[in-house]
Amino acid sequence: MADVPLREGKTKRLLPTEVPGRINLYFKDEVSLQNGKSIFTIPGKGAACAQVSLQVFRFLAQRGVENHLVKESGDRLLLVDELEMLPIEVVVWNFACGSLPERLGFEPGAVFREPLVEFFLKDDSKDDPLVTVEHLEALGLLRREEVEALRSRALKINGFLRDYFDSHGIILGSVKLEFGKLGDHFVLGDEVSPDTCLMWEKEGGKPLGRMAALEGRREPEIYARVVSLMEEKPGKEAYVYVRPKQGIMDPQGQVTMRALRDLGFSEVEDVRVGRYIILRIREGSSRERLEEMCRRLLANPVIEDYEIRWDD
Amino acid sequence: MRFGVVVFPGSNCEADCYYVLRDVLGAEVDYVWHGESDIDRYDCLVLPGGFSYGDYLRPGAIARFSPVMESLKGFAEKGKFIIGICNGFQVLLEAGLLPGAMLWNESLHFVCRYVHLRLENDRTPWTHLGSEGQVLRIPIAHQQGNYYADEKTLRALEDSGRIILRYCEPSGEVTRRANPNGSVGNIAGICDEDFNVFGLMPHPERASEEVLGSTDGLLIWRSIMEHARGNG
Repeated sequence: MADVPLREGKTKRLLPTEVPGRINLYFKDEVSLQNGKSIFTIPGKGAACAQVSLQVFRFLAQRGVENHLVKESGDRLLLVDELEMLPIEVVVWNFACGSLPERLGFEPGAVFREPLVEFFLKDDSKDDPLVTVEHLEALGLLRREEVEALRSRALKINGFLRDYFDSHGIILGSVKLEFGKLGDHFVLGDEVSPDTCLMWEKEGGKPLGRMAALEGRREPEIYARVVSLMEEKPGKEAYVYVRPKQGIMDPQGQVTMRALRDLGFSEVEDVRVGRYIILRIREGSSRERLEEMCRRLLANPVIEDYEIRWDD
Repeated sequence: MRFGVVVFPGSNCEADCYYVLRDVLGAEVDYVWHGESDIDRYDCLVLPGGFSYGDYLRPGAIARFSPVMESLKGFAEKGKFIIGICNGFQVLLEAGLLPGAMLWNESLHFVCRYVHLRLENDRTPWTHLGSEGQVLRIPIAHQQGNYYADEKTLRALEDSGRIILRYCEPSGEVTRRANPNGSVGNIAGICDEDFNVFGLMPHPERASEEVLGSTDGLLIWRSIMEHARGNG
């Protein structure tokens, strides 16, 4: 019975599980543009979106953003808490892209002083209309203070995601978020992926995922590329040697030298004892940053010199 | 005068300072967690001894980035008072609120015993109840109290009377033998240019009651309290 969906959407299937209150999200390869008016398949798209969502939900949980993820439960399958979903999409825009320039006349790429937040009603028959706080209240969906709470939560999530994607070489133009009720409070649900975010590669500025699909691209690479950018690459090791400055009394060195001589190592002329610090540094840092780390914390410039070994 | 005793993770002399200020001297005093940055209600902050952040990296090196330390600079500029004792002194040095740095004791040993200190300047808010040349008996307890500053800094400290305490013989003579840790010029305590910030390795809070064997530390607490009342 586990493969008969509870519900099937345009891009995902909701599958039942043995555990009450838990469902599996199955990510399909379908891409849906213009509110379902254009639907096509890109092989690997579902797996890519499941993978990125998994990573993003884990990251957000670490930042204290409650979300529905329980764990990965298979290829393109995420086990999640079953939420009572709000029929609302919350979209945060960092700059004018996607539908914004056409709808409101912004210059494409125009950066806003503060990110814009929009609420849309999920209803394909009405083309997912933009709704105001008053609409949401009048429709009996949310109280004003709940709308404000969701707005500030969405802005906070957007801030986390912008930095997170940026550290992986991805520019985040906009993100679409959906929330649902778990008990008496709202948590983040649905997916956060190259299919719900508009994103570009920082280097070269090429559109990725959905943004590329909107520009007519159909090759699997547009989604797969996001997965490879998001891969956690182990950083490179840097070595910092901190030692007492020339001429500064070094009691540890002196005592160690005496001990070596007592052991018969009469050839030892001098010993200076310092610290050896090994750091793992993520890509994108610089020697200047390392110098700053040394000056501000790793060494005390009054009494210590430092040397950095790092091939940047 | 309201005192705040700052508590870092790893401080271990805060209760002694708090006790002396409140129970021995009847002052108003609160503990101030290192994460606090609103310290306006205090007139004098005490950075107590201990092993803030386990003395990792260098004593005081991590503690100095605490939110309360960010506020300390503005605090001193307002003419308020800061005293750093032992690890608190190390924190003030790392934060650059006082010049110089601490090296390991010459012996490499942790030294915990009474020392004699010569009062070098009695015209400061911290010492005006004493007299120059007076000898105080106060305990020390540290492994990195070997004060170092380059010659230029030393001369500046010397010329402006900012060296407040030096390790000495019971007679008051400043000798090499009386130096417990190798500190340059037998320095045990210094002030900043305005004499608002005082750092010292000895623990005045451990010499503030007869039962502890010395009350010489009271001189410092009483001086600053009298100063706040407008005397001295």
